[in-house]
Amino acid sequence: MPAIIHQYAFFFDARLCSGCKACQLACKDKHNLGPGVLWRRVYEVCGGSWRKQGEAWIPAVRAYHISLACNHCQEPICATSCPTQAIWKRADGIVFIESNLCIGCRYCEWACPYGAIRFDGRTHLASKCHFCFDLLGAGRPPACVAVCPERALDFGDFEELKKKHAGLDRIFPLPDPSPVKPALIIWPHRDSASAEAEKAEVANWEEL
Amino acid sequence: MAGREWPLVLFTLLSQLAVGAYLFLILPLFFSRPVKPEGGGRDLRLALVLIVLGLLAAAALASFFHLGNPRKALKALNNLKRSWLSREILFELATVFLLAALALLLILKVRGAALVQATGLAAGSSGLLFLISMARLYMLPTVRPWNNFFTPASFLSTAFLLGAVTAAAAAAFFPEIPFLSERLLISLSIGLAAISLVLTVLTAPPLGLWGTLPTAGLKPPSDPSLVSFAGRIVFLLAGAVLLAVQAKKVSGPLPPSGRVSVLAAFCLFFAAETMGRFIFYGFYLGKR
Repeated sequence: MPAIIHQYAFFFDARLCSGCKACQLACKDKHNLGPGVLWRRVYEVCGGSWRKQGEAWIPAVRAYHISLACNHCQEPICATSCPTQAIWKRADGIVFIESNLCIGCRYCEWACPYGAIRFDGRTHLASKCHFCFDLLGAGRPPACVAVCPERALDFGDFEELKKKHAGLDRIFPLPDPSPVKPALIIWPHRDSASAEAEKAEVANWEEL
Repeated sequence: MAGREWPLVLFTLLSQLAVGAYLFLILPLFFSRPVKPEGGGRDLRLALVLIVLGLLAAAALASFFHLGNPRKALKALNNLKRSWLSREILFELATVFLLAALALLLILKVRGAALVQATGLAAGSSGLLFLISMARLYMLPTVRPWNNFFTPASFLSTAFLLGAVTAAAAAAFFPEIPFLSERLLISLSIGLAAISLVLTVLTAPPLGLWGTLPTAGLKPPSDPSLVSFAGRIVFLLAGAVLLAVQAKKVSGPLPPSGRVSVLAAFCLFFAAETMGRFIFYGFYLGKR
């Protein structure tokens, strides 16, 4: 595995995301992904209810979206778990799957806490976001970032992004980031702080 | 759905049965007097070693149905330094190799019990490491329902329970062969079934110890089926009661009805452990 020279990272502003899924579609289109294979996914998180206050009903509904791809973790458990060393981290921090080494055991899919690794039913191999490294090489942004109409997505060097958008690495219902150290910065939606207490949940697993 | 994982259920169960049976049924024979089946023929130990090898081969075959690209399966040994899955495959191959070497020594009737015993012990140790690495690979720090004491406890208890009850059945059907004591094996099987029972109750809703209850996250929540838990408990209890009744009824070798009971207990325990394995995968893989 080469030494990491710098680390590419994604930034996501949950306050701006409207859940339009343009990022998801742009990714699917750019990489010609098959049915059920989503390298970027938009989770709709909702919960809460209406509360009666006197004679009035007050809305206390929580709803927000999270757009998530592979977070190109600094300590990628998919790579350490992979029995064939098909998954490795490039010098630019991008976690990459070497398809010709993959045996389709799906161990990486179990290990990734973000559900970023997708088993491709057409090739019977693991697949995931590779940060559109071809576009990066041409000096262009990844397809998902370029297409976002709300400008809720950004990308760049992790250290530079941290300076530009100081934020969190976890909002509900993202997992504990400590075992993998994701290269991800999130600006949280106002509803995310109370979502866990309000037992919010992902609205529709079928679309993910 | 966890039902999709049937190749892994078969792989883990058959491997655990093979190693458990080897440890409880065959390995002790290398430290007792030589045994021949009635009417002469080859050493019975050879036949048993070949059966265990057959079980391991069937387990390996089942695992191939899990792979997307089985033609490159040997590449799974590439990451021994970091991946427990690689180590599992290594110990599986080592166990098969050592058992094959043992079979060869028995076929060639090599003189020197020490060599046969050493190879037998090496195969047993490798089998144990195979079981440990099989459990360890599920203990991923990112997978809460699997990364705990329950995983190795359940995997080892399955191997030992199925091994002990297989040995008990063999001892019941072939009393002339110096297997381990039938009484000891039946008591051991009852004790191990009790451990499996306790583990099942502790992980079932509403207790759900070790994080086995569904929680919010980025993967579809698990879908623990109470019917599976109840079925597993009933099968374990029924098998243990059958064995306990037989153990209490007679003091000498088991009569034919007792032998049937031990065989029935094996079937009940195998069914219970199969349900347990589907429950195990369902803790994490849930509705997918």
